[in-house]
Amino acid sequence: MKKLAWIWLVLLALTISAWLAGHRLDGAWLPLLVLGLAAIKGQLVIDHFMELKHAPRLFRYAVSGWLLTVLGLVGVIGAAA
Amino acid sequence: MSTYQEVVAAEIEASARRARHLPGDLAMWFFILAELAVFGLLFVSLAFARAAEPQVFADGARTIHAGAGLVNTLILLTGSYFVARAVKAMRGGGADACSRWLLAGAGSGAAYTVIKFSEYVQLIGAGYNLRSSTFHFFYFFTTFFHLMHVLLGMIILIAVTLRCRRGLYSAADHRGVESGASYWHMVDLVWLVLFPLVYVLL
Repeated sequence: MKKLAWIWLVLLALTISAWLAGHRLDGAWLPLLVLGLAAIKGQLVIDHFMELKHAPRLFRYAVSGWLLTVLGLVGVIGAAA
Repeated sequence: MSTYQEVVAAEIEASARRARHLPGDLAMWFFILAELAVFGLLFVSLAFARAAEPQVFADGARTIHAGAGLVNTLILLTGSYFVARAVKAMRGGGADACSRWLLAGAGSGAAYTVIKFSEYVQLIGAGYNLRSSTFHFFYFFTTFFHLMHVLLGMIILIAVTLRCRRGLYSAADHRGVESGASYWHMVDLVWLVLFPLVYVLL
């Protein structure tokens, strides 16, 4: 099977896993798990769908940096509350 | 025995392959980065609002249809996959396949829009609106703002499809397809951050 199709199936599986974890599980570590899964999914989209893995590095750093900064801030703001 | 010119030509070709390629126009990427900045501000504001009123957000999250959020995420990821296939098809010179994958991507946007509207109809029918609570303000504001980007993305995909059918792209030159695809993936990427904030973390 083509690589893109595998990426797509992994993205679907991670999405369902995150949703089930959020609705079935409980614990202080849950936001870390759910935001971590979002980071993995986002990076897969950035690398393989947006094709930034082989783009000029500045663009990959900018978009991945956005992803990690926003998810990191959301996690920190939530944990500090 | 290759001539000097042939050696130089082969070397130029090899270095072009090694060069890093930005898919689409530089202007589109500046636009994408500007969009990401706005969405980032919105998500961080949402996180602060949630931290200030955790109970309001927990109660509010129970009023929305979490399953619709899951299905819409799967639909957007699938649409993104279709559009990524469109770019690959065009690189192989398959303009017909490219326009079919692009239309499938736009179709996923239409399915997303129908589900999103049914969510709004259900919530508004149950008496909720922007002023119901801080959670509902952020829910309606953020998801509607994102929905407008889905609609713009669909318009872009359909415009690129029409140009593709007119034979305006080739395996060597399909920057327009890449620009449209990059915008569509940005709309998907932003939703992947919005999804846990609204539909998963209660």
